[in-house]
Amino acid sequence: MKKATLTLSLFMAVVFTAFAGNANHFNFNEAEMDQALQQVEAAESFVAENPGVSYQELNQNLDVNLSATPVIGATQSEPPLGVPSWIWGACLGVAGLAIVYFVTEDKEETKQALWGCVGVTVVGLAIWLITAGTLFASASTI
Amino acid sequence: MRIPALLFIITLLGTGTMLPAQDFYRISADFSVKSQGDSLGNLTMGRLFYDENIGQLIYDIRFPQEQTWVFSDSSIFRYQSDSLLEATVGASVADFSLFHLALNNDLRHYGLKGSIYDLEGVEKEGDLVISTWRPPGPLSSTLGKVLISSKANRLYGIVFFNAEEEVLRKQFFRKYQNINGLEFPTELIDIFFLDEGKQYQKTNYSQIRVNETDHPEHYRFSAPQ
Repeated sequence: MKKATLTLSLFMAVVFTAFAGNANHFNFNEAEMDQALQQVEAAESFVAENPGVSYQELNQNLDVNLSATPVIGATQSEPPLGVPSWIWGACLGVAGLAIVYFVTEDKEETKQALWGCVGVTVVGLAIWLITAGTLFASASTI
Repeated sequence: MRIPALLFIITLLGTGTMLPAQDFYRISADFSVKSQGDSLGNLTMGRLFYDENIGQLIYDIRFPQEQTWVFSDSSIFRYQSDSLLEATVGASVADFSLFHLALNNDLRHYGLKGSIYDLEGVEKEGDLVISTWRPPGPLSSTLGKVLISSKANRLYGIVFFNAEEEVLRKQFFRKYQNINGLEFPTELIDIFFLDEGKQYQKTNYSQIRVNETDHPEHYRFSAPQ
């Protein structure tokens, strides 16, 4: 029993050591973020206190430069991990679409992934139909 | 006396095991999305509605312009004053949203559990439990790993890498609230590592309602005729 416990402890120690050191990736400079978003945060408070204010009025009152276009989700437009989105859809199907959305949340990129997914599905279906047809024809002649 | 006591315990245990798990199916919240580019800042505010049985994620945007964005099972629509501004067909995203994952208790693994990504390992460092997810073998030369951390049994952060082990994006889920039993992060921090430098985006959720029965019409968007 002691041996088993010791072996298990050693195994866990080896596993944990092998993956150790990732915690530092979960840090970020909060002061830097606060500074970067300072003006936008002030704008948010202003809008909350003055419902109905337009972004033009806000730009004038707070001397900020806010975009007129709503933004939800990611602001980057690069494909995830630098891989073209259609490959994500082609290789990973629906999961690929999800990854594209998780990483970019970009409609065009997600659309490309969908086309990749559809393309592979169509090709796969065609191959299946040809194979099935060939097998059926062979079986019919036996 | 022993038999009634035993029956009581059995009944109590039976009742406990037969109690259905809390079924969350609907969520709404005020939201604000803030980011700052090189010259232009972005501030988007409004209220969102999601009912997983209907499958529409509806953003009722009030600032900077009144617009309605609808993410459905296969399309994204943007409306302004009952006019369709843009329709993107073929992007099924509502099922992978933060709200869908939270309602289905899949947030802790951010939906990667059961996906094509493989769980490579789990480590515990300080108060973080970090899982490493890798893409399948043939794609590992072009795709990078994903790290997911949880703190106190709640999703805390996600880090996306490229194949060269460079960080592409970090997401942090903070300030959890318990709304009628549903744990939901009310602050989402996004950090994008772009060629021109880091870009921050902060999203806050407030006035969160779960399984709201009032105003069911808010959860189903019908296209203006």
